[in-house]
Amino acid sequence: MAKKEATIALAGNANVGKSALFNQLTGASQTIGNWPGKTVEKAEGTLFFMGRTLRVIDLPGIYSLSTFSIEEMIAREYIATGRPDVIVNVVDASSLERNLYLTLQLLEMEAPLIIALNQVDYASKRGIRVDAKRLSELLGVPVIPTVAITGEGVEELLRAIIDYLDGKIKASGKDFKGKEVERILEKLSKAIASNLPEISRIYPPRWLAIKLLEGDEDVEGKVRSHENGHLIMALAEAAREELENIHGEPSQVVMASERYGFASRIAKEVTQFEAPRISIEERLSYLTTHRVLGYPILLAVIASMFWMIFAVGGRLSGILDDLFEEIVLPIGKGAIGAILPEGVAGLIADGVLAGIGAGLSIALPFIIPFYALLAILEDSGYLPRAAFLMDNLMHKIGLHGKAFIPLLLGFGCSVPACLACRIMERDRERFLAAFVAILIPCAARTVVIMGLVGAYLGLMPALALYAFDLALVLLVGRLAYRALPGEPIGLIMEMPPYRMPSWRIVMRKTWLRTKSFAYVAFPYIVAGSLILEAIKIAGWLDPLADAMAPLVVQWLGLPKEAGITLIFGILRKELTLILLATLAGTANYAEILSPIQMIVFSLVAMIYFPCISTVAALVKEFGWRKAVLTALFDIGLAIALGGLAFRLLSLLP
Amino acid sequence: MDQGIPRDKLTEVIEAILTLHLEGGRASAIDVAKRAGLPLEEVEALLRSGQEEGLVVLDGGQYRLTAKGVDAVREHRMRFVHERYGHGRGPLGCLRRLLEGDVSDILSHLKTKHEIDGKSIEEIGAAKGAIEEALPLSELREGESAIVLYPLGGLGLRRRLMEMGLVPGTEVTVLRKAPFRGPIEVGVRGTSLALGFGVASKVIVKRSGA
Repeated sequence: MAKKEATIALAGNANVGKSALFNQLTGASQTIGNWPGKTVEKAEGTLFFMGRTLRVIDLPGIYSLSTFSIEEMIAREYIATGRPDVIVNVVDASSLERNLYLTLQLLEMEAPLIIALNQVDYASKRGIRVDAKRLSELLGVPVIPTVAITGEGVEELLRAIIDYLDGKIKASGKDFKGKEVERILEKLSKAIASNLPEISRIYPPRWLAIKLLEGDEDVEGKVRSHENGHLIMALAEAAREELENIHGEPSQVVMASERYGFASRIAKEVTQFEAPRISIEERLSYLTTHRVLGYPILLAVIASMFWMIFAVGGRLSGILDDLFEEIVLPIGKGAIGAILPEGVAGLIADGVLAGIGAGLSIALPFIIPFYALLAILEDSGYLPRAAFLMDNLMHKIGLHGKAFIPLLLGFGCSVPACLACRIMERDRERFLAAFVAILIPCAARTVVIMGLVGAYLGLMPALALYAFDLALVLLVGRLAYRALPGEPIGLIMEMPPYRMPSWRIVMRKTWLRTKSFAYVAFPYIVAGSLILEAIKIAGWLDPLADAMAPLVVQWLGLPKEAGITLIFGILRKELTLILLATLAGTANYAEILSPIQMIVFSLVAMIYFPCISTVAALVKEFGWRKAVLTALFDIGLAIALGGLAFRLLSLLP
Repeated sequence: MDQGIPRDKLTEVIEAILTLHLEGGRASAIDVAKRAGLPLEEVEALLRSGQEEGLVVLDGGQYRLTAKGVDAVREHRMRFVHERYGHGRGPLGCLRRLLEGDVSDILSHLKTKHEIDGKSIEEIGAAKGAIEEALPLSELREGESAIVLYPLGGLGLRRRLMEMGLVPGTEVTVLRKAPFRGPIEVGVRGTSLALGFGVASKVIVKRSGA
């Protein structure tokens, strides 16, 4: 009897429904989407089937097992060292040839493979029929047709997994290379097996040989670090030369051609095409990437998205705010007062409760609709089109089109924007994208701009501030791009076909993201409000305001209280505005600030500091050093620009 | 060497002679001038200097290239490819081999040892001697199809392009081109891929017949 517990890993390209299958298997806790390479984190789940406990691990969506991106490294290391009992390779039936490239690489790693031939429904809609049985014969591994979105075929897949674990079916597939290549590989892998037994226990020798022929830096490093490494490297060099002499092509071209040659022949043999017709989806794709029409459509999509967010968010925010002020706060205060001594009760009530209240009534109402609309855009397949249209502009700041996605997210909240920078392939681009994404005015900053400049000075000055900020993003991005060492890389992105988003998945995604946002942001909000409340109770607020007066009053030309609110704004940017009203004792900002001061105040609030949740996200993604440097840069930039704006605007009649 | 005659114009003239010859047409001074798009007097001067250098001979009122002249054309074309597509050793070397004509050994090898199907070989073979036809993917128009000859660029980029299916011999169709040297959407192996302009200009292709 085989063991009771087993580990299953899901591997496959982006956009093949891998996450959907993961959700079907484990029942929860994963997001699925349409923009390439989103699932960077290792997602896990457990399921029970026929008396077994199956631990399911969702590997990142990848196209290859080279070391081009972190995702590929993660997947490769896990497959080699994590030793999952079964790897389910999720393959998109509608683009079999491209998907088989990864399959062949998994076979090279001698992975215990079962193929889930997914999206067979969608493929047949496009007139593509794949013979699963023949595919299984050709590859030597079980192939199960599935439709992950509906759950069709999932049970058959699980039975195949169990049968495999019980040893009832074999998954002993092998990839094939041309005779010459095989001969060279055999020679090299034999040498590896006998000279490097330690590495050969972890990685199959033949796979190591393939990677050495391909000039894989990671494997080369691993080999070199061993005693006999130099010997193998010399052999590999000779083998590479032999291969290049025979084929007249660089060895990595030979290997890629070999794989695609094989993939192409298999795909041709098992696929039947019916007459293709131009579908609505293709027409839509044609329109939304049109060189002229594409841009107004993009603008309209973004504009209507924000209009909906503020229409829904504003109303929701008002309702929640009333609810909290009228009901939750008094009850909470009463309850806390009854339990705790007076001093502590005040601290908790005004610090913790007020903080949670601000988060609930100000941030969440805007973030929830934002996430929902974003999920719809993602699942429909529109985001890659937007990235396509924006590629040119993004190159101006040393990034490519995909960076537009975090920038777009930045309008909602900087935290998910920072996290979304993972879609960039390299660290340099990740940081650069995050650096500019946090300068995009998020929903909280929009509250300040609209609540102050928009409400008192009119829509045009508010929009001018936005325009200024976007120009600043381009300028700062360009400077940062020049300052950071390294070459920019170009865009290589899959354009998945348009699809109707599933409401169930959109809602689940919205919920999961809101939850994870709350987990990131709320602890900081509560801790921060607690500290500030303590400072207030200790009576340090006024001395602090005095200490900041030279900067705030002399340089920025703002009232003294503004300094305190800017400190509070570190927690959440909208607090700058809310607290200004509290400190001045009136919500009529015209009595507190002159028009120039309103603009300067909004400008400073917009730029001066990524809020504490964003700093947390920056630390998580890029480490303390880069997070602190970014924060310091933004503070310096805001102070410089604020002072300049004050002086320039004062010159106006 | 005659300093008064600009090299590139001389090369254009001998290129024109070779083209006329390959087309089986006449190559009198007037034909050459027409083909090269230069004034007759200038072409006559250039042809004189070409004769002095031993690149061209006058044969019964028609001009013909000497072996040295053919070499000069080949070198010019090679330089053109070189300057245009960078200096990487591997792929450029292959492209050069392809263009120089010792492609037949590679082809027979591909067929017997490499099991690449006949159609692809035909298409690669068609690239032989068709230097003008090699162009970057970025120069194709919307709706045009082409065969990938070589992805150029650094190791990482080349590997990435090939992983996404752009290996030599693959058919690609340009679906979309964004304006102002923007990205290009291509159909390849049943999927659709967006390539930045810089990336697309590193993929060397040849227009396919259709």
